[in-house]
Amino acid sequence: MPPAVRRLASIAALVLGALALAAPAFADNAGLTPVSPESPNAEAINQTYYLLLIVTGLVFFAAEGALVVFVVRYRRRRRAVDVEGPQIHGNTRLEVLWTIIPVFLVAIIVAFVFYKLPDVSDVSRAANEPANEPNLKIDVRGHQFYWEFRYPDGSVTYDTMVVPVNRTVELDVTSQVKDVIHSWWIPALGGKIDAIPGRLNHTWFRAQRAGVFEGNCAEYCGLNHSRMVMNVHALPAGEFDAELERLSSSGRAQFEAACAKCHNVSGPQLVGPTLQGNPTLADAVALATLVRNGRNEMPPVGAGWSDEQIQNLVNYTKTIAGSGQ
Amino acid sequence: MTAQTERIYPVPWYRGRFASWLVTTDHKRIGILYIGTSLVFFVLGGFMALLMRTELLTPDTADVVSAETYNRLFTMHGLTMVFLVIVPILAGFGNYLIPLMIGAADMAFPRLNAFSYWSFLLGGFVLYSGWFASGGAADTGWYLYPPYSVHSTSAVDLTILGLHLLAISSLAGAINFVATVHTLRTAGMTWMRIPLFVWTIYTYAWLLILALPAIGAALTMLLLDRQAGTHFFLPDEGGNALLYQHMFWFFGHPEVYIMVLPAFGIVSEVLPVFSRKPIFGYAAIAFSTVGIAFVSLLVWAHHMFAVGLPNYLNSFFMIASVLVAVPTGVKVINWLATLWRGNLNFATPMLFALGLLSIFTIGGLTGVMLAAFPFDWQVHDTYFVVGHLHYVLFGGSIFGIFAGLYYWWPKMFGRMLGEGLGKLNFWLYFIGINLTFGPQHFLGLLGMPRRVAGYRDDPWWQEWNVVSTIGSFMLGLGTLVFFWNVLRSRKSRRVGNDPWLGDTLEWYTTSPPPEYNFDKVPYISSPRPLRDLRRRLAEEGVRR
Repeated sequence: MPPAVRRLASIAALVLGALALAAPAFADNAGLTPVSPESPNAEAINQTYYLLLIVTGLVFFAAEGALVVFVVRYRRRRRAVDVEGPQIHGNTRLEVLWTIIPVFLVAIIVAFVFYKLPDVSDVSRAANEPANEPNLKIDVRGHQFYWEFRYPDGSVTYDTMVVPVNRTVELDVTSQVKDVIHSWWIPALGGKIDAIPGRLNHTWFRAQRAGVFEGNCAEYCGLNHSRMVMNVHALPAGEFDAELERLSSSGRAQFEAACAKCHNVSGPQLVGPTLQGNPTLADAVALATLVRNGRNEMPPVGAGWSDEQIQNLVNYTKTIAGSGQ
Repeated sequence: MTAQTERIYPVPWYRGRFASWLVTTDHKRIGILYIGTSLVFFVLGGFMALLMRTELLTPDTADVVSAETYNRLFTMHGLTMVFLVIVPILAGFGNYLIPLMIGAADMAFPRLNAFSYWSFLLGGFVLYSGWFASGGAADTGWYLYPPYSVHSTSAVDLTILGLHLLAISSLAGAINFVATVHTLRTAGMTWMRIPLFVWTIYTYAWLLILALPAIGAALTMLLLDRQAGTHFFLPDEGGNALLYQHMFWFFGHPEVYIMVLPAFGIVSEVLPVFSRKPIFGYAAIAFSTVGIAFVSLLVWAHHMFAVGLPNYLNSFFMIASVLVAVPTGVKVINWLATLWRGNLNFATPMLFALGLLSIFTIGGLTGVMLAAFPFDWQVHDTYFVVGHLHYVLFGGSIFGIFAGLYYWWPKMFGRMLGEGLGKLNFWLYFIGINLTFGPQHFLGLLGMPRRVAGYRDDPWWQEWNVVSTIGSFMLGLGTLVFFWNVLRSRKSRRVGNDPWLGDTLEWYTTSPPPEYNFDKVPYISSPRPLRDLRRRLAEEGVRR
């Protein structure tokens, strides 16, 4: 080994060693890897990430290594500026070789993606807990700037989705038809899928532990896009029904998702006027007209809401209408 | 006695110091106008980026700008950098260099060329006039997706008009480049002897011709949806919002290669000159350019992996996208082979070219990662993609452009840019870009979406955002150093025809070249006519 290459090899070994030591400290939460997966599809995506990292990492070290070696080894030093290197115009055999190598590398990637794809795309066939429970199907509907979740039993929640642990959840994702495009994404529970008006998309997850998993709308949707956050609350099966019942009947949760991102109840004006003392709050008919049709800058946040949903909101807004005066 | 009166011809107005720039059809002057205007927009676009990075120092929204302004800033930053900086500055290099490199007196259509520049400038003004419109500058993102862009009350219509003007400008320029390369090559300059930069501009021009009609149609349909009551893209009236995305990205992806291929061409000119070697595999590099361009027309839906296309389509677009890595890899390896056993001279143009080689490689590799669509489902529309695209467009296009500015500055103005400031510029950019855009990959993996004025209050999220903001200010400082260098160069030493001992024909004429460029052009017998000439002179000197 020529001395320059040996020196470089020892530097590379040092760097790799330092990285290996630092890796556990960074792992999981610093962003060197995706967030730790809590659903089988997210796990399969993570494994794909590791393969991609290995293949591209090898190419990275080969290319950047060659660059560093050449820059050090062939620098001008005390040679005159116009001293020429050997006039090599090319080498067909070498060039064919390094056309084939990238083909081979990308073939590995494509093959691995196809190998893992069913684990990501196909709805899990693992048995649910408790046994013989069917998959839970939830309609996900994007609105400016909140999420509406409709459950098979007719319950509706907003921004927080309640699910039982270890039960496969199938999602039908769309956006209110007069609304704009949003994107459903809980990083720990798998990849994203766009919520597009007039189009029904499908995805799934299966929370493998209890907990709250946070996400953000991932398609820019307007003024409050950065505040369009949502989460999935996974609970043991025994607590699921009660929590869903509590949350779906909470007018306050509905208000905070659909109204409070633009309106303060009291205090300074946010995007829209502060609501304190506003007569519409206690007037079910006026409120229904307002949220279903919007007004001026205000989007129709309640487009598609049922009368029960309106009533649920009014039950809550009545209480704050009183509190203001 | 009759006084002998000397008849004084007044200089006509159109020969005046400033007016002559307004009426010029000289390709070199138009090239300089393009480059100068683009650099002004580069400063404006960069300023908007720094405002955004400052806003992102803390998780809160509205530290320095409101969420509303933030949305306008990222929209205008994107539009500016794509349509008013990278594409036109490359057109400027093409304008300045193509006739010189192929031994022509001017472009094929000099007046069409002037028209291209002025419609570019007008398009830029129209885009920026959005800031003064009642609805404010466009807040739709640079890609103007409906239904949002149909409903938005911001200056979307002005943006559409501005983009139409810019598209007309680019189209006229592209036709001009194609005609010039086809018809005006000097004696002996066959297709396999034209400089590689000419190959890339030729490919850039064809891509523009093929891709621009798609966005022209999409924008017109969008305008009709907004103003004429049609509903091409409105689902509640039976339209389809995805149709726009297909049309936009059919243009939008080739646009990436439009922005990066000529930068590759610049690197392919700079590396051999500062290595004192011929480019390794001229034909492979020329054909890989065409290969990348062809494949780039077949990959558009990899921007749409998350819209819910069937997996057989996703698979097709994945395979097409990773195939881009093959010709790109050929280029990178051939550049490395060009360095091998050379006499590497680290002047500023060379530093920027090597910087492109090192940074673009990372952007290319993350591009391969993103093509694997299940992984893209995870990081699509996150900061991972922001990091990736800036490694490609800053580390690729802008580094190539700066290599070109430092390399051809003495040809354009007859004076060198300072080497000391040039190296400072390079190191600020090289470190700044890695600090700014490296941590953005981590943010994306952590789950931070793009286009947000505020983010989750989490220590790692803020940590990486702070690092990124520090890096962005290094980039801003580097840009200031460049302009300081430009100001200083007015007093720097004059140079001869060929200060770098170049290979190509533009170094045969004076610096700056006269109108119509050459008195006579030597017969071209290789891709490196200037080296041939130097060797012939040296041999004759020995014989004498």
